[in-house]
Amino acid sequence: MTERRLARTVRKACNRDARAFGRLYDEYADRVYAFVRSRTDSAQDAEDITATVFLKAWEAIGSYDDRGLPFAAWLFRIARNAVVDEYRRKAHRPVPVDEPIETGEVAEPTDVAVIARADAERVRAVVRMLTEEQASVIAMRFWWDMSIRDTAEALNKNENAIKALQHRAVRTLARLLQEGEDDGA
Amino acid sequence: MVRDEKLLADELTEAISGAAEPLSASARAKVRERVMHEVSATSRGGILVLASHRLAVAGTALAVGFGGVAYAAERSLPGDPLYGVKIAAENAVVAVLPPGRLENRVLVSIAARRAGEAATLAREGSGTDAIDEALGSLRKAVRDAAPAEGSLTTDEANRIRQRAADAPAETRDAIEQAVVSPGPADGGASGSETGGAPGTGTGGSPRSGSDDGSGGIPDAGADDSTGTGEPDSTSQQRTREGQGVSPTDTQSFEVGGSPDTERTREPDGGLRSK
Repeated sequence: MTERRLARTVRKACNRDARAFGRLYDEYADRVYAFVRSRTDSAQDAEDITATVFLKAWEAIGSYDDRGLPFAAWLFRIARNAVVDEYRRKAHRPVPVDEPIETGEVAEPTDVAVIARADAERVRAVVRMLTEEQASVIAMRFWWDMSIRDTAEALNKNENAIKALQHRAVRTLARLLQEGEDDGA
Repeated sequence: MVRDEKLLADELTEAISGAAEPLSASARAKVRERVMHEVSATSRGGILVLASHRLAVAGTALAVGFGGVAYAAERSLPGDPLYGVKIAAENAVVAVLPPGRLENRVLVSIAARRAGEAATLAREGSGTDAIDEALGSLRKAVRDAAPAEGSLTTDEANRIRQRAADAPAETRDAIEQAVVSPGPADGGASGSETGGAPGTGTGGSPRSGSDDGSGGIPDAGADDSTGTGEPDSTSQQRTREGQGVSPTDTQSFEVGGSPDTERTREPDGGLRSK
């Protein structure tokens, strides 16, 4: 969907136009699901939360102002909150708000071949091990194709903080992939 | 070393980008249905449809006798009291349709309805403003029916044209223009939504609302529901008083046409189907 068409669709949806909202679902369902799935244990939970995200978006869209947050950032915030709510509701594990994983520079150089060999399932497993903020940045930057600026707005941080967060997230991910390979060897 | 870093960054970017877990088509449709069921019930159209239900119960005898409000709404034209109900019912139906062929056909049917309404208004000698407004609605409906970055197929355009076949020549030309070039949503090529093509009225007298049905042009409710996409000779003869026209929303949408039609564009920008 072009930017102009998206803006028009969002405006219509803000006026309670169900069909326009359906278009937004079609546009963003995959992205919402990809993020939600990276933070949940099962596909069924991820589908339920994806539905919740869009229903919450529909409830709130009347007050959405396109002069404020970009739509993707607004929707991502809803998705992120829905995931956190789900964690709290199930209380099956703490919400990882801190940095439970070593996020320093890679101690040993990562083997490029290890990354090349990593399949999507392995990468997703590693993304699930990242902190909530790191996973959010990964999702927005790599799966939602959001700019640094929009990502910063969604997380209410400045752009430099996002760059640093992304750097740490990618490095951590590389290290975890390397460690997984070493352990498996 | 720098080259290795670049290579590593590229590999990481590729690995991460490709790791987004896809939502299966069935799950996508299932979640969509869940969401849209709720959304359509609380949308602008859905609320109006609920209101129309109540109106139908309360006002049947008073307003239209045994035919029912839904029937009257189906036959209504812009400016009629029940026209809003007709539009709301259309919106509610479209809202729950998944993207695809069926939705596309329904949208083309809606565009054909708008063309039929403009034609009927002109034939009845409605004012220029009313006809221009109907043409604006037609342009919007054509834009909705056309794909995001393209135009209607020839078959689709013909289905819309058929509904305006008996319109006065001037209005038929304006309808043709709307079908071929509906213009951007923000106004432009074909004029504004409400004031577009000039001089499309035929007599300037306001619509009386007392249609004698003598003109015989099929109105929106006379959509073909046979699935053939061809005009039903019986429905062609129906008048606004109509006989035996399905009054329900979904049943009266014409969903025929050529299912195997593919959209292709001629080099000159025209359309053809194959």
